[in-house]
Amino acid sequence: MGRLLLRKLAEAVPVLLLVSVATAALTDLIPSSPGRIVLGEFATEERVQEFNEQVGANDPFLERYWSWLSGAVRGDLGTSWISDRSVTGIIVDSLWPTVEIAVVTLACSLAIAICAAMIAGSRPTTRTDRAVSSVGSVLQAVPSFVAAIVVTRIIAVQLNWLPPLGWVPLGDGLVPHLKSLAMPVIVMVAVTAPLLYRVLRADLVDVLQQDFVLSARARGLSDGYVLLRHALRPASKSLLTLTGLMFGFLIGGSIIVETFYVIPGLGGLVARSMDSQDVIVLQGVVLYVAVAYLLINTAVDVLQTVLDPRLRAAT
Amino acid sequence: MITATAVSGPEPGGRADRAALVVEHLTCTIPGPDGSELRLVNDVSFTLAAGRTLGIVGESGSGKTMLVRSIMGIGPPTTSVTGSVLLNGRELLHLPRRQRRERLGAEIAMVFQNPMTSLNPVVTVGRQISEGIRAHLGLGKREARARSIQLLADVGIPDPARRFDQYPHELSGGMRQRVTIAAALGSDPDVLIADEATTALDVTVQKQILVLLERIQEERQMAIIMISHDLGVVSGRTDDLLVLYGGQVAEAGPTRHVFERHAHRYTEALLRAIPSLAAEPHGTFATIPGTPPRPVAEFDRCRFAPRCAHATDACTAGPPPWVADDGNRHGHRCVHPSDPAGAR
Amino acid sequence: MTIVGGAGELGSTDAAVRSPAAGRRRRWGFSLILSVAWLVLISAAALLVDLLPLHDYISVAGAPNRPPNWSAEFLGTDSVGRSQLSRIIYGARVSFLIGFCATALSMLVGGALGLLAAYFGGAVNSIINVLANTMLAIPALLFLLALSIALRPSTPMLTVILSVITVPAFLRITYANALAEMQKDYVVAAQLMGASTGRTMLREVLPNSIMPVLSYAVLVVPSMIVVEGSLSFLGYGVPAPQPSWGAMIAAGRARLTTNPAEALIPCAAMFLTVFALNGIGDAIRERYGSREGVA
Repeated sequence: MGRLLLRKLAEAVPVLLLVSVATAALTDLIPSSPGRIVLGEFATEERVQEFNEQVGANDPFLERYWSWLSGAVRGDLGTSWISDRSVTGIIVDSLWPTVEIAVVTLACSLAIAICAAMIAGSRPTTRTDRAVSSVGSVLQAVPSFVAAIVVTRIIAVQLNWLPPLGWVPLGDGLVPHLKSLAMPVIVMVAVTAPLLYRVLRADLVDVLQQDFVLSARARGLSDGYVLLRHALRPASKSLLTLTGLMFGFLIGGSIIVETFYVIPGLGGLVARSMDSQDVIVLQGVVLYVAVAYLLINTAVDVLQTVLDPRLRAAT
Repeated sequence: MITATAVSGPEPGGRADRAALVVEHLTCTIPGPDGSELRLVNDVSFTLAAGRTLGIVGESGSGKTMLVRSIMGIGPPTTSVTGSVLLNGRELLHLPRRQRRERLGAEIAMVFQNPMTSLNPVVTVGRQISEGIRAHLGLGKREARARSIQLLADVGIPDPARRFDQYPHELSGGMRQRVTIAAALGSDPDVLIADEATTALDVTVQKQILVLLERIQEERQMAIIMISHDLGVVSGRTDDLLVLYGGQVAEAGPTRHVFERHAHRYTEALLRAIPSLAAEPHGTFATIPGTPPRPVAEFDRCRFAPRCAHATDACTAGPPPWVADDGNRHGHRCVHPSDPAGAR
Repeated sequence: MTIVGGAGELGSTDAAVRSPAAGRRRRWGFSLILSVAWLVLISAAALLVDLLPLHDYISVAGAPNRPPNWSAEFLGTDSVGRSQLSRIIYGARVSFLIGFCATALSMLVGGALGLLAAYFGGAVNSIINVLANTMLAIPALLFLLALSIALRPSTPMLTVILSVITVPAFLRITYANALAEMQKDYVVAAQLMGASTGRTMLREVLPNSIMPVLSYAVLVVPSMIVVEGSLSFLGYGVPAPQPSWGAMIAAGRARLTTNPAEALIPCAAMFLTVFALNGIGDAIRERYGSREGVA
C-alpha cells in the first residue's frame, strides 16, 4: 500500500505544477493591471504603476511564478491586493463553514444513498424500485440554485421555520448554528444524494446477479446478511470513486450555496474575490483546492485497495 | 398427466434406506412474451436415497440447472414452481422464507460450476465457510473457525489454517472448488447437488474433485445429485441416471442399465457422440444435428423429433407416453426406442 | 398450487431465463412522452420567437412585478416590467445554443485527442493524460470563474470555455473505446492490408467507437445547461440585456417573498428542460449501451 501511495503522489506532482502555472498565468490574463483594478479608474497612472511594482506585476512571468510558487510551498500564498491580509490567512479563515457543510452533506448523502440503493437495488423493477428511482431522477434534474430557491421559499418564507440566510458560528450557540446550517445542507444533499444513489443502485443490481450471491443464498444465509456482508462491499467501488469526485462537485456547489445564503466560507470567498477582482486570492484558492482535491482522490485510490483485496497485489 | 418416476433407491430386497429427497411432478415455468407460461422444467419426478448418487445429464438448455435451483427454491423470481419436493420427508417447496433458509445449507447444499464466480472475491475463504456454520449451527466465532479449518483439511487443502484468511484469488482453480465444497458441507447437509462442479476445471483436477466427492459421500452417507453434460463424468460414478431433454425426462434408470440398454434415441445419440479410442482414426465425430429446443408452453409432441433420425409422424402426433420397465426401474419416453440388445 | 418462486427475495436473474417479457418495458413511457413534448415546445418557441406576437426581452411590457395572470402578461413581469414569457423563451435560446454547441465542440476536441492518444500511445498518451488530469484537478465552476475573470464575456466565449470542462471526459471515453477496438482483429487486418494509420483510425476505429461517445454526449447537454445557469446565476454568464435563466433566477431571488413567481418560473423552465434531456439521454443510453456498446 505504501508503494501505491508514493506512486499516486508522484503522479500528482506534474499535475500540480501545471495547475500552479495555469493559475499564475491568470494575473497576466486579466485585461487591466492589478493597480488599475484596485485603485480604480480615477487613480493616476503613477499610483497605478507604483502599486504594480509593489505587487510585482511588472516582473517577468517566470520570476513572478517562481516567487509565488516557492512561497506557496512554504504556505505563503501572497497578500491580497484589496485587504492586505495574507491570502493563506484569508483562506484558512473561510475554511470552516465550507468544510462543515461538505462533511455533513457527504455523511447525510451517503447514508440516504446507501439505504435507498439497498432498498431499491434488492428488488429491481418492482414498484418500490421505480418509485425511489423516480424521486432520484427528479432530484437529479434540479440544479443547486433552483433547489436553493425552492427550499428557501418553502421553508424560510412560507413555513418560516428557518432564517432565509446567514451563518451563525458554532460558538454563538448550537441551535442557531444548526438552524443556519440546515438549509445549505438540505440543498446540497438534494443535489448530491441522487447521484450517489444512482451509481450504487446500478452496481448493486449487477452484484446481486453474481453467482456468489446465489451461492450464499443457497447456504441459507438471510437476505439482509447477504445484502450487507456480501453485496455491499463489491458494489461500493464506483461509489467510493464518485465520493472522491464529489469533493470537486461540493466546492462548485459551495460557491453557489454560500452566495445564496451569504455564508462566509470558501465558496463565498471565491465569489467575493471575483467581484473585487482580487486575483491573487483567487489564485491561492484554486491552488489550495487543487491540492486538496488531489490528496482526497489519492486517498480514495488507496481506500479502494482496502475495499477490494484483489487490487492489493497489483501495484 | 404423465408420470415419470425414476427411483434411485436401494435394489429390491436391500436395506430400507430412507429416501433423502423425493421430487414429484416438478414443473418450473416463466411467463412468455404472449402471456403463456413457458415450461423450463416439465413434470420431473425422482427419488434419491441416502448414500446414493443420481446423475442428471443433458445439453445446455435442457433444464438441468433450472431443475435443481427450483428444487432448492433459489430460481429467478420470475419463475413459478409447482409440484412437491420432500426433503427428509418434509416439504421444501411451499415453505415461508425463513423456514426454507433454515433448511438450505443444513439439509441440502449446492456446489456451483465456476469456483471463481461462486466465491465472493472480497471476502476471505474462511468466512465464506464459517458464516454458514454460524448461521445454522449457532457456533461462536472461534469454534466456527476451528470447524472450518477442519473442513478445509477434509477436502484436501494443505495448510488450512493459513488458507482460512486468504482470498479466493490467491488459490488455484482446483483449490477454490474444494473450498466451495467445504462451504457446502459446512452445516452437514444430507443432500449435495453438484451442478457441473467439475466442468470448469482441468481434466486432472476434475478427477481429484470427483474422487473427493466420492470419499465424502462414503464418509457421511450423503446423497449426491451430479449434474453434467459430460457422460464420462457420470458413468461409473452414479448409481442412477436421469437424461433430461428440453426440460423433460427422456430416460431414467440405473446408470449401467441406461448405458447398456438405452432406449430413448437421444440417449443413444449422446452415447454415440462420446469420442472413443476404438473409433476409426481421422473419422468424423458423431454429433447430434440441430440445436436444443426453446421452452414451450405445451408438451404435445416428442421434443427430440426434429433432430432424430428415427422420427416418424407418430412422434409428433401427441405427447409420447412414458414407458416404464418397473422390474429394472428403467423408463423412457420414446415412441421408437432403440434396443441395443435386440435386433433394431 | 402455484407458488411464485423467490418472489420478493434478492433478485437473481439467470441469464438464460431473461425472457423477452421480463425485459420489455414500455418503450414510450408517460414521462418520456412529456419530456419530448416539452423539449419540442420550448425549442420551437425559441426558434420562432421572433415571429410570434410577443414582446421582446428588453422593452417594458407592463407594470413591474406583476405575478402571472392569465389576462395581461401570461407569465408576469419582472422588476422592470419586462415580459417574463418572452424572457424565458429568449433565455431558452441561450441555454440550448450554448448547451448543444459546447457539447459538440467538446466532443470533437475530446474525441480527437482520445483517438490520438489511443493511436500513438506512449509519450503522446502521457502528455494528453497529464493535461486531462490537470483539468480535472480543478472543480469546474471554479475553473470557469477563474477564466471568466480574464476573458470578455460573450456567448461564443462562454461556449468555448464550457466545452473545455468535458473534454477530459470525452477524451477518456474515446480513448477507452478506441483502444478496445484497436485490439480487435479487423483493425489488425486492415493494417496488414496496408491501410495507413490515419485511414485506419478514421475509417475503421472511429465509426465503431462512436456510439458510446454519442450516448454520453446526450447526457452532457443538460449538464452544460446547468453549468451555464450556475455561471449566469453568479453573474458571469451571457452579458445583459440578453436574458438567461440563471440570471433571471438570481434577480428573482430578491423578491422571493413578494413575487416568488419571478424566480420560480425560470426555475421551472430550467428543471423541466434538464429533466426532459436527462430522460431522453437515459433512454438513448439504455438502447445503445454505453460501456459494452451492444447494438
